[in-house]
Amino acid sequence: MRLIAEFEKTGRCIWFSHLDLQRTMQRALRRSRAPIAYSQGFNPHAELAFASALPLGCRSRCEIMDVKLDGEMDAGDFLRAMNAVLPEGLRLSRARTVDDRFPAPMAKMAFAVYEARPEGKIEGIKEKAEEFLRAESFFVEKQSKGKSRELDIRPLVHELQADGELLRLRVTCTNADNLRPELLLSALFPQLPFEVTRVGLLQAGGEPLFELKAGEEG
Amino acid sequence: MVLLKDEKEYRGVLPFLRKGKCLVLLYDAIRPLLPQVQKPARYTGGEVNMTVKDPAKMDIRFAFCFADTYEVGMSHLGLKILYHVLNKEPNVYCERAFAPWVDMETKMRENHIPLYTLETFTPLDRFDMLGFTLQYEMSYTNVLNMLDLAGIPLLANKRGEEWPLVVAGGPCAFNPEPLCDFIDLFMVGDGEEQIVELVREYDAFKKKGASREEFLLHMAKRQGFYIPRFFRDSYFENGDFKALTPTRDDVPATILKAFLPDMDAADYPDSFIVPFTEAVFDRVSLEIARGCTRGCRFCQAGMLYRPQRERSMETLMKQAERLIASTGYEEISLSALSTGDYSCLPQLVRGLMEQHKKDRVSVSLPSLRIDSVLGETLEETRQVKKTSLTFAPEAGSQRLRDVINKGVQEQQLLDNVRDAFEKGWNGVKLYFMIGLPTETEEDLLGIPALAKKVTEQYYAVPKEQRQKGLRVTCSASSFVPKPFTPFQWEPQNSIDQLMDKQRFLRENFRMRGVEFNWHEPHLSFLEAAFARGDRRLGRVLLRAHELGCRFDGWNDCFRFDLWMQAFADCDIRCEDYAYKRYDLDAPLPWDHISCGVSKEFLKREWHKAEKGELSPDCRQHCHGCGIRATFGKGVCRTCG
Ligand code: SF4
Repeated sequence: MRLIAEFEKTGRCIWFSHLDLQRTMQRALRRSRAPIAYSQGFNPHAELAFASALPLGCRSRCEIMDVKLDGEMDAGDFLRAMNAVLPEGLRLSRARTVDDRFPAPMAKMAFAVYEARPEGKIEGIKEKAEEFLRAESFFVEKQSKGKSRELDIRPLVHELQADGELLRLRVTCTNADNLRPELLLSALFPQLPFEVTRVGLLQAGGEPLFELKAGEEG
Repeated sequence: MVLLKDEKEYRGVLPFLRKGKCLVLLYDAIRPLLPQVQKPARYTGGEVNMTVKDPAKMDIRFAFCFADTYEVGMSHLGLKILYHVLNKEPNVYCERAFAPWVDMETKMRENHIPLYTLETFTPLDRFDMLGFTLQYEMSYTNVLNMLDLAGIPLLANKRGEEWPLVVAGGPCAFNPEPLCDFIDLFMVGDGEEQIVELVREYDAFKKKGASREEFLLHMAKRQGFYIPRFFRDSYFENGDFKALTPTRDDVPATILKAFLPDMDAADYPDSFIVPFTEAVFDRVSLEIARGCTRGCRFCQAGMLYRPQRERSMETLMKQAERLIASTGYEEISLSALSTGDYSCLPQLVRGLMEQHKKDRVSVSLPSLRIDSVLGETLEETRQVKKTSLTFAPEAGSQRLRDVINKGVQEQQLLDNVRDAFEKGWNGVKLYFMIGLPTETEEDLLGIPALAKKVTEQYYAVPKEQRQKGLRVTCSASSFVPKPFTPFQWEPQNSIDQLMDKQRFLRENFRMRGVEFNWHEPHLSFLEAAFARGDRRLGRVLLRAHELGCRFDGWNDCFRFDLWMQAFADCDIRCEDYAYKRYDLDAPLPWDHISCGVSKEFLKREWHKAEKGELSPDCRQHCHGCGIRATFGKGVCRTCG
């Protein structure tokens, strides 16, 4: 069977990468003594997958991991065992057990929702957002593998809403396309740092990726 | 200013920091820099098993400073041990600081951020004590740079009572002279009990309201503590070192290293901090033994940490169990100068594997010696994890191996390698040293010749039986004469000589499946000067720091030109140190420190080296090195 759990990445834990998160979770799983299923080979590791990689420096309330068990474990017990061994800044909020045929969360990923709060004074936030949404295209410089290229990010942004000083973004987030909010924010508001929090992972129809069935513990 | 934007970010730190607002502000000042630097997790702490205490309730705040990057420092076993023993003291809080990488350093300097500890983001100048561990000479500029980044005066005599006491230990503390201008107190020898003694004494003195000078004087009389300000250096007219003498009658003239006779009684951590971002060695390490019985004549650690002391299998099994449970690591590595010499290695490896089988924990053996009990052990490590095999013949010919007392027979090595290839290994690393005393062209040619024979062993294994893709790596480092070794009197080869030898080897190293690499001879040249340096080199060090030298051990940061300028500016020649041949009877700048091994023994070994005579392993024969005479009967397992 498998366990799907939702967790937060906050605090000092926002400063390590996705690769570091994988390693950190692997070791937490070992410390928790949950009956994890190990892969074959010379470097056995837990069969663990995440719905989506979170950009470094970004907080999240809604990350999702999927881990394979080699035995039975109650979702509530898993939650408690893991939270007892996780570092400050990583915390499982809900979990559910599913059977092995249950689709991988990653496969259902379509959008991510972020909240961005400027760390400083900001003018005309609403106007800028509206202007962006009116545009047909919006090109930004993207650095990848030492090269920089132009990328049209407009089609990747589905919602950009100013709520007072808070910006709310809904962007494409799939295996193939994953827009880092940073790319948009630094283009719209250069020089201004934002505190960004991922608040939702959504499926294509807009429904949340993580759902508990009625009566499930979490 | 809103202090708590994300309260969790400060958790572990903040319960106490609410009182000390400026510390919170320091973290706030660092945060905007983090997205702009590589691997920011190196600068934010908060890892699993980090010690959390309330600084306000502590009598002593100790900052453990590692003069290299986080990844290197967090791999260091000594840090883990000392962090553990210090934090076990209820009134002491030991925190960590590392040298920030150059990108972060630039940002910190631009933004006036002082170097701080990862536990609580406290600037280093707020601590009672800073403790540096000196692992290798080429980290000295980082020591100065870290002090500088913390805004602490570099020179000990410029630091009044309001500044932290700066102490240092580690292997380089056995000849710490080049650092004497900067460090208040050195700890020489086994550190885990000594450092506790230090903080307890300090606490007692602090509570009495005694002055720093009184405290240091008190410590100067205790075993293993060296306080440079109570000694004066003098030189002969030709510039040769003459003597280092105490400035007071009540300060002992010789400092004998601190010594732990029983490794089972020594404290060892129950948990290691588990870095978020990968360290160089990121695993449980068990220190199975300290010291070595081999007596290789170039090896400083082999002399400094005599006699060899083992931890019992029982202790090690318990430690492994606790560490695996508290860290969740997937690998255990056995650590010792000569892992293969551990008395019951096969039993230990088998025991550990049995104990951790269901958790899929692997066991690895680094620094395997060439004549170790391979056989069975080899087979077993492979079942779990396939590490590449390492052999250190050090010299290419039997003659030169005899000179350096590396009592290794070529046939033995080849048999072992063959055995390994038959069991499915395909990677072998061979370590050599060039520039050893008495080395000839013939000895050098022995290096590629040996590599060739290793590849032949591989091809001799039937194709279906051997693993595809042979990889033989030969590394040649340059010999550096080190204090407290039989070669301490020897000159180093000149840079030109070393470069010629490297070129010569490269030309003779063209073979399939073999990679040859060598060390930067300029770095070894400086290392030789500082390893055998005296107090006068402190000026050069300071000048090198002013010129911007740091991370000298890192290729991309090493600036030989600046170093040479530093020497020139101080009117000191690096050659005079590195290329010096000392007279056997000449006073040496480290004569006031004793690792328990007598100079007579080192001289005897020097003479034997000259004749190419071997000194067999201590376990076969005691050579009367002085350890037993110094620390008493029964300290050596073999000679009683
Ligand atoms: S006293 Fe003898 S056995 Fe002990 S370390 Fe010295 S030479 Fe070896």
